[in-house]
Amino acid sequence: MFSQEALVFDYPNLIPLLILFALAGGMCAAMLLGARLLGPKRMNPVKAQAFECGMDPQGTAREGGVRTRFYLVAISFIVFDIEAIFLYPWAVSFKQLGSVGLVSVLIFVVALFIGLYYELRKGVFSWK
Amino acid sequence: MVLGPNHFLLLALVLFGIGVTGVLVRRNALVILMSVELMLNAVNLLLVAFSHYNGNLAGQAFTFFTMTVAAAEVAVGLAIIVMLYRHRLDTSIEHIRLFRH
Amino acid sequence: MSDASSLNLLSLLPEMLVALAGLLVILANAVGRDSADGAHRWISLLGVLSALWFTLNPLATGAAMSGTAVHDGLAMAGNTVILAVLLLLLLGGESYLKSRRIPLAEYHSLSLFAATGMMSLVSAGDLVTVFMGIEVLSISLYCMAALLNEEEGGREAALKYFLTGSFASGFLLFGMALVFGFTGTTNLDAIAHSLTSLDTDNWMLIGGALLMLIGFLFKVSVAPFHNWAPDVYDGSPAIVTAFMSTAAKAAAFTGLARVFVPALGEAADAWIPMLALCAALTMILGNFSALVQDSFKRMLAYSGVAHAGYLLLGILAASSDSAHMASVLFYLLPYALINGVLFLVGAAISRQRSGKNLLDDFKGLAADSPLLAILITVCLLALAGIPPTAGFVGKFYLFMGAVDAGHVGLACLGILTSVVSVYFYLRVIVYAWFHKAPAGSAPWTPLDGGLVLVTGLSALLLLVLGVWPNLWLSITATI
Repeated sequence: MFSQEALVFDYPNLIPLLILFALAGGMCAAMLLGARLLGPKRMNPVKAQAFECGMDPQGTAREGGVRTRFYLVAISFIVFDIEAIFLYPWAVSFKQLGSVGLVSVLIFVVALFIGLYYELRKGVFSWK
Repeated sequence: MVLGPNHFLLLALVLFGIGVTGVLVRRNALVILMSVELMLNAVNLLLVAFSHYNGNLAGQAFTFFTMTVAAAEVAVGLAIIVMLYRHRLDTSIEHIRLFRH
Repeated sequence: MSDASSLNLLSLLPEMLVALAGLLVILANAVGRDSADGAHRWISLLGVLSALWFTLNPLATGAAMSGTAVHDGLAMAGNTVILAVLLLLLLGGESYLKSRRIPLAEYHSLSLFAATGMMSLVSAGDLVTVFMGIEVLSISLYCMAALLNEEEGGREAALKYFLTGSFASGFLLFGMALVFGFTGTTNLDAIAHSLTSLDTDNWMLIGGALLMLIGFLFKVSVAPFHNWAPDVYDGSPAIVTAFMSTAAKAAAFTGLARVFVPALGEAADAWIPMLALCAALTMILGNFSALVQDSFKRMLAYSGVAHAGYLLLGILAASSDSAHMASVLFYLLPYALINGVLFLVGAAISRQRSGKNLLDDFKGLAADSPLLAILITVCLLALAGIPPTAGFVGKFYLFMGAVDAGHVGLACLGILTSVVSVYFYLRVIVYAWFHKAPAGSAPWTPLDGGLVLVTGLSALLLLVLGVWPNLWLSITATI
């Protein structure tokens, strides 16, 4: 049922990687701890305020929230971003696939563009 | 350390199990959606591992399709959840009686 | 391998025409103004009719796209059922779409995309195609279920359908991965071939088959995985319910047959007990739950669950002799037509009364519109399996097949539960003919002529197929 060899991981080769992880983690911990232990803390209300370019903040941060319009753009991004993965295998084997591959990918891209054009005309990307 | 197909199978099973448990136990539509994604990604891992051990690329090609489908599913799922959220202002599914009757 | 000759694209013409029509509808909507409403309908109609023509008169058959799709008798019969339902809804659904203010371009393009998915599933030759077909049809249907998003029921139906559907996809996919791991291929023919030389008593194969079965049974709403169906059918727009309870179910059943009967046939010992158990449970639960419903849509939903049980009997029979596949395919057409007609006409009738799809809405129908009463009667009798309708012939073949395959107990259970089902179908008929309309109900306004015409023709077809079943059987038996 399985024809291929098992994957073998030999530890000696992994030691540099482990050292890298230890260094990265250690540096983060050292900087955070250092700031907490050494840095003086003098809080006052002005400092605790949200920074709005020197203006007095109005209302709370929760009030406006993220506009739901934004989620449409986010969703479009996810979809088009992921669809692009079909282009990678095609690009890698461009020569072998020849004209059949090219036509297939063109059809795929045209279909995507029709969707994009529909979104555009429906005003998904227009910010009022 | 020698990694055989059974190691990947075990890992995929655990991930898939976490996903299934999340869907059945959690009552927030967004968390359920994330759990479903976890289930799909467990399968992706399994497909790629089997693809290696079987010595062909069919599993890896399958993974491409799974990933795109998962993205499309998330897009539609999020749209449905946002639609519900606009009317109810929460994403709980307590009132929907899912899997219960 | 990827040269043009092995692509055999001509055999995929029906799928491509439907997908193209869907894209054109979107494009027409994006380019045109609001006045271009008629265009959606004409493009869809043209796409569906041409696809139906090329399904019945194929320019090419056999394996296509290097074996990932196969155009054989199974695909032909499945595509015909799907396109027939689409045609019925296109011709008869216009007044419903207008009255509920459903966005036309979105509805038409989504239904065409869903049909593309269904047709790919029906003609799949590879697990990847099976998965993609199921997902394309499901994702389109999730959106269609949400078309009535101004109503609480519609929103909840969409969410429930989405969550259960994607949950089921996870199981299906995990099963596919296990089968791929065991056999080393995703091609259905190659899986069947490799199973002849491998030891099928392997937990990976059995687990994979069972997980895939769970995924499929969710999609075709078989007990104990049917809980979503009544709520989703009830909350979705009637025209979408008519589509998902017929075409989607037909496609999923054909896909189930394709994956399990030829490809996993060698491992039949693993999945037949579970399938038989689910079939028995489904026939009992579906029919007895339908008895106590007050809502016409919910009653039809449970009746649809029960019919999934009958169709499973056909799959069981086909697993021992693939000639019995014809009985499954035969029954799918009358089943799909009846439910399509009943959901459409039921919604139109209910709109004249309470608007809530209650069984009481049918009271006094014969006095108001004898023609509609006859139509409803024919459809319900066919659903109950009473001769001389196609419903009787279909059920007869299914039960006979089960007996042939040695599932005598299940066949008896099927006949017994069918007898139970006569009660709730007859109830509607009795309401229509022998009850008076509730006092104070609004005067009857005639239904849309197109709706009456196509549903009438469908009912006529049920009678014709009941008398001359060979008209359709000859197509389904060419596999």
